[in-house]
Amino acid sequence: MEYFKEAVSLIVGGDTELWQIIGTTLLMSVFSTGFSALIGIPLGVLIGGNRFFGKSVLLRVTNTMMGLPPVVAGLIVFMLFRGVGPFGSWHLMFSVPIMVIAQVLLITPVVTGLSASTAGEKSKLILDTARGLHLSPGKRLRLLIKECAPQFVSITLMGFGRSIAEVGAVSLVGGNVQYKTRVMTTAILLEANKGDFRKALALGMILMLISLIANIPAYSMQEKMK
Amino acid sequence: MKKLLAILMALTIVLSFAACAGKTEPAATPTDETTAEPTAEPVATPENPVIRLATTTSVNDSGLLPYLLPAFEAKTGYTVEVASAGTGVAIGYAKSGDADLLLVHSKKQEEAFIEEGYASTERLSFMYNYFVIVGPADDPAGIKDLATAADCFQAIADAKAGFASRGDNSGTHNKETGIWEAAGIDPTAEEWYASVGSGMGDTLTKANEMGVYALTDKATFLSMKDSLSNLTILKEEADDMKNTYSLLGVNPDAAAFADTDVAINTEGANALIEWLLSDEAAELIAQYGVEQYGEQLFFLLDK
Repeated sequence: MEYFKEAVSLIVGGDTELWQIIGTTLLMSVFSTGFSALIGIPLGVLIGGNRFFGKSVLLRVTNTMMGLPPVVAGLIVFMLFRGVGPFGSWHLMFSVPIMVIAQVLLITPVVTGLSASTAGEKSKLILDTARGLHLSPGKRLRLLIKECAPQFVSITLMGFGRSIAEVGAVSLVGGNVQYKTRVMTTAILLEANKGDFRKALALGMILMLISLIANIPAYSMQEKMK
Repeated sequence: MKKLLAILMALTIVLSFAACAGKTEPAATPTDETTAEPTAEPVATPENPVIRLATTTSVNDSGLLPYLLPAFEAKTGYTVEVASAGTGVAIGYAKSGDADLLLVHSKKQEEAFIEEGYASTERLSFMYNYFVIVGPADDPAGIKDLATAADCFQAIADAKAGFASRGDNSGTHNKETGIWEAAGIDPTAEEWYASVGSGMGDTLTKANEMGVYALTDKATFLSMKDSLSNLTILKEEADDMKNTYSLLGVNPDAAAFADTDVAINTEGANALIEWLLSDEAAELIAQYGVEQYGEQLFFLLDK
C-alpha cells in the first residue's frame, strides 16, 4: 500500500522527468512493436499458410530465434552500430532508433513464429471450405487473414509486452542516458542499483499500469473481430 | 480488416506524436532557464551542441554530475549526454568512438588509454575523494584500528570474514585488486570472496544482504546509507585509499578511428574540460554534499 501511494504521488507529483521517461518508453515500444508486426505477420502468413521446400527448416530457424536472449540481441546491434563498427557512420549509438532496431531484432522472430503457427492451423481448416466454394487463391488468403485477425492482435500485444518490459538490449545499446534514452525498465534498474527500492517498485507499478492501459483498446478490438 | 489496419496505423502515429510532444518538453526547459537568467551573457548555441560524456557510476549515480552539469549547460548552451558505467566500460565506449570525453578514476587504465593513442589530452587529474571499507557493525575481522587498507584486507582474509567485490573491471574494482596485490593475497578463488560482477550500488546492496565487507567510494555509500542498514564505515582516509578522478579528451585522429565515420566533438569536450577545471566548478564541487550529508564528498587537487 505504501508503495502504491509512492507510485501515485510520483504520477501526480508533476515530475516532468517521469513523463519524459514514459514518453520515451511508449515511443520506443510503439515503433518496435509496429515494425515487428509489419514484418513478422506477413512473413508468418507466408510461411504458415503455404507449403514449400524448406518450410520446416525455416520454421526451426524462426523458433530458435524466438529464444534469442535480449542481451545477445543488444550485443549484436551494439557491435554493428558502435562508432568503429560497420554502421558507425549512422551515429545511432545511445539513441531511441537504435533501441528500436535491437528490439525489432528481438521481437520480429516471436511475431513471425506465432503468426506462422496460427496461419498454419487455420489454413488447414479453411482449405476444405475454400475448395468447396471454389475460391481463388487471392480470396483464400483474404479469408485466412480474416480468420486469424484476432490472434494477430494478441500476438502484436504480446510483442508490445515484451518490448515494454525488456531491459537487457535497451540498456546495452541505449546506455540509459538521462532525458534521452532512459526508459521505464532502465530507470527501475537504476533506482534498484542505487538502493532506492521504494521508487523502483513504484516505477514498476506505473509500468504495469501502462501495460494495462495499452491492453484495453486491443481487447475491445479483438472482441469486435470475433 | 483494412479499416482495422488503418485505425491501428493512425493510433500508432498519434501515439508516437504524443510521445514526441512529451519528449520535447524537458528538452525545452534548460533553454528556458538560460533565457530567464537576466545576468547571464546571451548564449549562442554551439555548432555541435551535444557532448557525450562517458563516466563512472560514482560521480553520476551519487548525484555529483546531475548537480554540476545544469550550470555548465545553462552557461554554454551545450547538452551533455552522460553514459555512466564502470571505468572499464566507459573507456570501452570511448574506444568505440561513442564518447567525446571521459571522467574516470583508474590510473592504470587511463595510462593504457593514452598509450594506445586514444587521448587528445593528458591525464587531467582534478579532484579526489577517499575509498572507504564498509562492513558489518560488529567488525568480525577487527579492521577498525588498522593502519592501511592492505592491513585491513589481510585481516579480512585471515578471518575469512566475507568480502563482496565489484568484479566488473571498474576503477573501484581495480583499486581493490591493487590493494589485494599489496597485501600479497589472491582472494579470487576463496570461498569467502564473492565477485558479484555489478555496479557499486548493486554490490553494496548485496554486501548488505550477505553481511560482508566491501570497498566503496564514500559518495555512493552515503547516498545509499538508508537502505544499507547492516553496513557501516569501518575504515576511511588511509593513505592507500585515495581515489583520484581524471578527465581525458578523446582523440578524433586515433588510429582506430581511421576509415570510420567516428565524429568526436572535440570543441565541446574541451569546453566541458575547461569548465570543470574552472574556479566556478571548483566552488560547486567543494559545496557538494555539505548540506545533504554534512560533509564534503569530493576534494580538489592543488593546481
